[in-house]
Amino acid sequence: MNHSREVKALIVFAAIIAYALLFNHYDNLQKNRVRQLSPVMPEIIYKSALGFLEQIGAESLFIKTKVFFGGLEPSAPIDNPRTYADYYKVIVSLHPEFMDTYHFSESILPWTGEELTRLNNQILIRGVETHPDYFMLYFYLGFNHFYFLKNYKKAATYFWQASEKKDAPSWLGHLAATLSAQGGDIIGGLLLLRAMEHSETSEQIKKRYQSEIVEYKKAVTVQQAMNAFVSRNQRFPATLDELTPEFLPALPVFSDEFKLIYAPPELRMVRNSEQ
Amino acid sequence: MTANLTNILSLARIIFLDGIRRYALLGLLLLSLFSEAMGLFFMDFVSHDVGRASSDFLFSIMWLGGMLFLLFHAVQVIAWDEERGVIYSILSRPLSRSAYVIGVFVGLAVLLTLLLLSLGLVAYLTLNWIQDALDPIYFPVFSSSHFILTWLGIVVAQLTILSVIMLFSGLVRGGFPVLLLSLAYYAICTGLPTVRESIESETATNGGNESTLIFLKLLSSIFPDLTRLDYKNSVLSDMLPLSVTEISTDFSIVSLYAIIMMTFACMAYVRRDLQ
Repeated sequence: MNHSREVKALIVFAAIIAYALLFNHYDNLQKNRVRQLSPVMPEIIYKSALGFLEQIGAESLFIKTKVFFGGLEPSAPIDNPRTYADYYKVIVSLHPEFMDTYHFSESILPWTGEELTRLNNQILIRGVETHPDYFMLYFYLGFNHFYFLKNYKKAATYFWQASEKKDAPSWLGHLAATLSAQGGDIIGGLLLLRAMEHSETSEQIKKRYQSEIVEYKKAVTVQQAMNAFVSRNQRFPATLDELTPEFLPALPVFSDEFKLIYAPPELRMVRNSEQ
Repeated sequence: MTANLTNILSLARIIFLDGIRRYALLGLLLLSLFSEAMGLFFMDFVSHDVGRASSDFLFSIMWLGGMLFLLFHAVQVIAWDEERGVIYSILSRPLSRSAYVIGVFVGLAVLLTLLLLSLGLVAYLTLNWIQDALDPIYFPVFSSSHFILTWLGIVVAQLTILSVIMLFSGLVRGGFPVLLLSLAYYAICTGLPTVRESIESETATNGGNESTLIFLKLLSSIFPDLTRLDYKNSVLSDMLPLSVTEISTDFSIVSLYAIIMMTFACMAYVRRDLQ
């Protein structure tokens, strides 16, 4: 009887030791394997299954991506950016109110290529629909259009929208005006600058805006002359010199800060430090 | 009438006293409170929208605590009465079967409300503490009135599920079948709105069978969308998610549904062969 009990105890002890060894071995293997973020299920499955727990489900998915991203080596490339994008799309669909998704999505997706920048912009637009008064989301959209997609006009639109929101820094409006002119919409840029000048309370900044408005007005005269040239000749001038003297007495001289760039059919005004 | 009411309240009192004496229920309360405390760790995973994530977490714990109560206590309490023969001694007294159903429902409803009240109180204090501890940017708004509205939404939704459990208990013998039916009912209620939305949008774009839509509408009236009482997103907002009329309509629809289910439950018990 006692002998049998000892044998049972020995078997249990051996099983525990075997389990501990196997567990240790498995755990060491896990450390060395290449980590992959598992694909996310379609949003309809989460929506159908979660019900009252939709918000916490979305936040759990977000934490999963965040913990996974945090576990990567600092210099490691992101192997599967598309998977992150899929996660963020699902999370935003389940819980568009949750702000962290937009901040993280912006910090990861646009840096991996144009396709995911556009996808990230869709995610941000969902954010703008849910949080129309939060300036950062417009700022992200403006930044993506400016820096990654080189669409200055759209960037200017989003920066201007951002500048109109509460807590937005005032320089956003100025940035919008500059980008608007840089994107070829000089008249739009002038209008934005005038609005900025009108609402500015600091005399020093007001004076700066006024000096820039003078430069923008010069560019607008060139734009108007070019429009007249096009309506008369049904073509764009080859160079701006073609506009003088019939459409413009002389090409205006700009301050050191700005210059005109003409690449038919587009006339852009840029700061001297930029192209 | 007064005698009937006294009988109902006496039975409800027995159910209530029996419930608070059960270690399993105390365990559920402690587990839920412990889980709510874990919310303080959960917020560590979130960088920006800490208030929202904490609020979602605490309300989800409340919902899960209530569901565990319904599925593993309420279902069993009703089944025990029959399995242990308690129902015969109760019904041998001057108590109608309908009064028995209402008495059990009231007893369980009081227990459920008390459980949710304890969890709600701890959640309220926790959220207040978190808001005080954080910079306003991470937890800008906490609306006490919206917190109470969200809590009420959970209570009414779970009381509705309790009324359906009462009906299933009248139709089917044994705790396990009722548990399965209740789970299936909850799954359909959760998934049906997504299915309906998906088919409606497909019908709107590609055209489709009107009778399918009518059938889905009918199904939705039998398996109501209880998430219409989910107001979690409004806790961190100054504005109500819907108008007062819409909120009152949501509560009225679900409450009327629960009353109809209780009426059916009474009818089922009246016709039931208890031998």
